[in-house]
Amino acid sequence: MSYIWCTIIILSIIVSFAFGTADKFIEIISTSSLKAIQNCLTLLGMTCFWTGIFNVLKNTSLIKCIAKILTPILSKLFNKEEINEEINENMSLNITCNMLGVGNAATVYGLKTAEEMSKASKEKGVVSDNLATFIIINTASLQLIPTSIISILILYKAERPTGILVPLWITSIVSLLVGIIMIKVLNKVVKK
Amino acid sequence: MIQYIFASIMPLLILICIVSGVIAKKNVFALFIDGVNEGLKVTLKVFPHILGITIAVSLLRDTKALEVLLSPICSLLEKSGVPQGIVPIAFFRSISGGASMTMLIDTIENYGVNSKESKMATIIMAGSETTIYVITMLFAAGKITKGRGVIVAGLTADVIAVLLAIILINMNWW
Repeated sequence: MSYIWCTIIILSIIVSFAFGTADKFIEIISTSSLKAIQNCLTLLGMTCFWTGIFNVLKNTSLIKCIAKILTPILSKLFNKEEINEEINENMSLNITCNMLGVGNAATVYGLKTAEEMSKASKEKGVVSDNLATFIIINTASLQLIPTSIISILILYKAERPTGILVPLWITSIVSLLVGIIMIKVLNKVVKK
Repeated sequence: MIQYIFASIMPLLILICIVSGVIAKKNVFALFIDGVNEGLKVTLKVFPHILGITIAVSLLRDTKALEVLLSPICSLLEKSGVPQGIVPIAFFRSISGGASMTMLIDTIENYGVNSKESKMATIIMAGSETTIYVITMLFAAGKITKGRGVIVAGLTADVIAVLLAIILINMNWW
């Protein structure tokens, strides 16, 4: 990240000298830093509202009910020998939170799952097939109700803020499937 | 009608959260306040990233450096229906969550919320994750040193998500 950031800044300065716009450079910095603060404030109220609402959900048994419904579907993707009760619960909670767009809560369960899964695996320090699949499910982001994104669209007065839902679902599901197929193939090819 | 149903999902979700809290006899308001506090902390924590990235992206765009960079492949991008404006977010989505969120807002403000660019950026934002960060974090939690292709598979999924966002929005059905 650091290299990329430095490259962008240096490149911009070189280009601005090349095009003779160097006098505008500081102006761009001051207007854009003002914009950063505005953006932050715009998002602040809404983000906090959703984290507040989801904190209520996190503390009720409802989320465990949803997680229970998911378990049979999930068990098809994983090697059952290395899955115990605890892994199963954390994993289901992680995926439920991800689907509802509760990122912060999802992270906590995700970390626990990764820890337990690598404990259950025989080879230490090497990704087990189960953990690899679990990570792909996390990186592909299967969001059914992208609360924060839709809230942003509403905030900026989009014509049809929910219009993006269908293409979004298609994108999420296809990219998740591609990721899972890729990792299943790679896990067979790349030896432990 | 369908539009109305979709739009009702969020109030319904809020209702479910509150009601399930009341049924479980929790102090719903206190939980809400705790959550808001958490959100406040997170936002404060990502602010430096937002500032750094907003400045960098504005410089890249307003000094015309982005145009210069993309000029060799510009006509190719145009022919395949890829607007220049979504290149930064497509590139940064897998690397930094704060950066890509900033770029989404930036895209909406610069191209308008109903533009092709904004719709594509929205789908890229919601349809993929901060892959590099998530993998680093989960590997650290499991003390993993050998990845066996997880990064390759994760990034492939991201590329597919970006391509689909471009193709689906260009179809103009939604």
